[in-house]
Amino acid sequence: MTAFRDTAVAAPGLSARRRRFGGWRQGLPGYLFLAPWLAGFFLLTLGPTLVSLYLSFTDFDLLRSPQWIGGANYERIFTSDPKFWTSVGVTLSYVALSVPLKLGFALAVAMWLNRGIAGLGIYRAIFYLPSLLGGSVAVAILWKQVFGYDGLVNQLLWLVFGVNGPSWISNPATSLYTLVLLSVWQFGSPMIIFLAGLRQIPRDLYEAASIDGATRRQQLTRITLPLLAPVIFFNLVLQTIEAFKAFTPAFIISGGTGGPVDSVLFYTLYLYQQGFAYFRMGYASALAWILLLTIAAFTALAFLSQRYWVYYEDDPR
Amino acid sequence: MGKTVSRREMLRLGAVIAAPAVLKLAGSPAAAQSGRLRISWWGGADRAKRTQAAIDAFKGRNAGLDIVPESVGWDAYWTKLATQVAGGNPPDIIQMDYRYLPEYARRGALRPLDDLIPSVIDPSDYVPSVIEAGKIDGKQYGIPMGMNSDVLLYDKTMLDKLGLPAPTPEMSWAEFTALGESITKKANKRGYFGAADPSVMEPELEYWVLTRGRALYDASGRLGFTRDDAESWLALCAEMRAKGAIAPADIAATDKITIDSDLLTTGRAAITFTNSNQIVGYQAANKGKIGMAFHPKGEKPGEYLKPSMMLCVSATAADPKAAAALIDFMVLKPDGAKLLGVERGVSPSAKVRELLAGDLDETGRLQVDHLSALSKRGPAPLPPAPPKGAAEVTALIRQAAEKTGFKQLTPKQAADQLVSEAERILSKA
Amino acid sequence: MAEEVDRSWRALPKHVALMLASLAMLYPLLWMLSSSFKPEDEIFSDLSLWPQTVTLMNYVEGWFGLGIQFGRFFLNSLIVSGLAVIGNLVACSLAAFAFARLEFPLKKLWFAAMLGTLMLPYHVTLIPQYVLFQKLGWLNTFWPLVVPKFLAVDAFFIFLMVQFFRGIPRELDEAAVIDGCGPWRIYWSIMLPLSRPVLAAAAIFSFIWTWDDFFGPLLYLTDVANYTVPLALRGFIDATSRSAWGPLFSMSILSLVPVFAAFLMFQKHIIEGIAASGLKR
Repeated sequence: MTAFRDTAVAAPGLSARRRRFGGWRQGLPGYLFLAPWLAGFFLLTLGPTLVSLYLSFTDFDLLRSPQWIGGANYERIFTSDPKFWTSVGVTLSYVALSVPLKLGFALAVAMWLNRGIAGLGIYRAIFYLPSLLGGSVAVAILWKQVFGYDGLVNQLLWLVFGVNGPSWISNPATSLYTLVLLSVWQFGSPMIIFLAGLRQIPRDLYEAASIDGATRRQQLTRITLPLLAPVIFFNLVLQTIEAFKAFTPAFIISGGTGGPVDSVLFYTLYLYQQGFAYFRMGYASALAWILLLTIAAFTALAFLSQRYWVYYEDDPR
Repeated sequence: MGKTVSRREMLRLGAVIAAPAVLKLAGSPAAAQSGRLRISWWGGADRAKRTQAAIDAFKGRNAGLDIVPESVGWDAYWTKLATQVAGGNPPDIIQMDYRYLPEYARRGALRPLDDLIPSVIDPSDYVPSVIEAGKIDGKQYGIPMGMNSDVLLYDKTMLDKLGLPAPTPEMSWAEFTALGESITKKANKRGYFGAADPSVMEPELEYWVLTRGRALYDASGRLGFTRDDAESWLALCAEMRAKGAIAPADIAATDKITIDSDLLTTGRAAITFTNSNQIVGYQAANKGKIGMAFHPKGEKPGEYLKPSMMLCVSATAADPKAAAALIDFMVLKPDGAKLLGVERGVSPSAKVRELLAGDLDETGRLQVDHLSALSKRGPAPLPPAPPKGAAEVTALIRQAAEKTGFKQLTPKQAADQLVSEAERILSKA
Repeated sequence: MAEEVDRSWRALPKHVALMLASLAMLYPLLWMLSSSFKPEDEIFSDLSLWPQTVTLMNYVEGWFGLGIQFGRFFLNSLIVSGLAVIGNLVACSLAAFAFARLEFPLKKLWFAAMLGTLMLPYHVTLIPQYVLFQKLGWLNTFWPLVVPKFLAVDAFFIFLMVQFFRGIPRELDEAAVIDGCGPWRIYWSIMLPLSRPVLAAAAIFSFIWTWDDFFGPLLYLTDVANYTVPLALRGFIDATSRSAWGPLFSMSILSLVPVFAAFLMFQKHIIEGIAASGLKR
């Protein structure tokens, strides 16, 4: 391993300087590889995005031409819209709870299902099933059966403790937590990504480590976690973005209302209500851009934190 | 230098792409073609089958006319319609709900049909208040397909089993509460109650204020009821809840005002509140036999005949006459009306009602009987159309009910909040 | 190459735990399966897993009930999802290779822009996008559902692949450069073969997410003959009128079959991964 790296460092014509500051000519291959994405970005994505930015400064009721009103939407959001703050609170709690729980769970299961016992392929497939159902109608009905008045949870409570539980899913004090659990239950995608990451770690590292007498715990903290860091980072960033934008679970479980008493009024659900139920697409666009900036700030923080905990194989040193 | 050029280029490119899209966002000319009609409705498989049959029959009489149907469930329908209209590509014929009619009509998305009445569509034998409901600001935008009224539906099998009488037309709210209490007591099943919670449903508040001689909105689009109206209603419901006559708040909150989540369907209550034409859907999803009844009586009549849904023509339709002819075929011509049946509600046209009287099934007959009983008893006059901002008020009503239900607020506090918030929203809209 | 597998009794507790967990995961599927054999009026009023009355009518009505045989919707969904997999794998891996391995001006800007596209809720770009596809004359075709995938519009996959490409030691391609390989050869002969696990994961997600997508087809497909499976499934139900829940559940069960098959097909590649491709260091 070391020998290999030495060769690379000594390779001619590949100084770190040129690698980092490629000029336009050296940049040509990069742009060629990027061409499909650039085409998609300029032809399909950028236009609608800029339009939504423009709309956020207008009064647009969907059916008539938008009227420019400057920053009035933004001003109203921050000064006289209590529901905005409610939805911010709900969303932040959801992000703070669901992201770590879901990631921790997915990582634990992925490591568990990585190798070692027979029939793993079947278990993996079964564990992915809840994610296959996605946001389908069945999920709403199902969740009511689990956390409803005489749902599975309450039946268990009755059997084990002899107490009658409330209807968890429709109680303002608990409904958000049932949605957090729903998100944890659908942990399939990060699990698969973790699994792919685990598979990329060369087996011989573990073999060498156990010959050196490393305990399993040491193997976890010295090999698995550091080498998995880029993948953990990816899941962290993406799950956070997804949690901020979460819409479907709250929409199907609350029937679009965000209730009871706004307890699951997710930010994007509120945005959707403003845009499509109350015909205020300009206002909804302003909400969307505030969300974009918030997510961008969180993502930027995550990227800045990388230098402390994420190590890439290709890092020049 | 490379950087600047590129940034400028990027901005220019973005603007070039964005500009036409912005300009074309609203009010762009129709992408409609003549010789081709697009018709869009919400509904399930049963409705799709009936409508398709009517469309095929119409095509049979109009050679060379191509009709493209689009149908989807209620939720998705409104998002899709809003996108299509905003994108300048609306369907030629749009199935419209009473609540959304003013929103679309006042924003110029629909075409007034006055010049085609009665030459193409002739609704002269419609129940007057029902055809009136298709008018906004004096112009006829919507042709009602059927009519309904707000009713009680009850599980007849269950009431028979418990040895309890069905709700009667002359019953008072006190008697209704007593009935609910005895159902809850006699059924003696955890999580099963006499009736669903009416306070979370906007039409039930409307019923209450109509019986008190008021309405949700007045003709000029302001709030039509007082704090006292709202408080008395919330207090009545709180009392029924406390006595166990209606479902408690956490169960009521599972009712999303859809047939599948309704407490009657999910086996949580014996009586629910809904529109008369929806009995078809309720009966299909319920094992027990479903019956239909009037609300508890108030001082004044509170039930009225209203359109269950309407058909409208888009403002940009290329051939409004053909569109109107298809509407006429479906709602007024014997062949078309027969194919649609009473699935969308009882026809407001006396002629069509008579025509269909022979082949009504049980749920159809219940609707017809109930509505004619209502006509005899004297329905409330049609309340003014909901103003802009009404959708938000609907959400506020549910919110107020839930806040009293979960005891976060007293009926008085909740009523105060509801009325002042609603007034604020309506004054801005 | 054989994995060492513990077939001894020591693995038993692990199996028991896994099976219990599987039950929690399987419950919805079992419920849906049982509902698909129940008559309509039993589905919501009786929530037990065992139907009181077993009927096959839901499957018959589901398959034929929408006027067009359900097989047509399966075919449509297979075409769209299959193309989405190809598009995403090709276009996103090209872009990801550029971001992970090549140097070019404005790279950071493009990377930030790429991530930015993930952050805007789609509700507010729906209408301008609809206008765009309408102008292109793509309404009621599969183009709006497929072309974006070939233009790497889904940044999730680019970022995912970037993270995995960066996990491959740079020494490998530097050695290849010395041997005279250009970027294309490095991408094709080193990166892709070494990235089988992540490509398989991306293929799984592309297939399943496209298969499950409801909103895109809802807006862009109008002719029933072009409907994809989720759109057709929603045709059975409506909150305000008579719904056909039995047929909905029966066809939902059938629609899980291709998705599950896709999962099994691709997950094999995740597992074989590097171990099979023989990366030795």
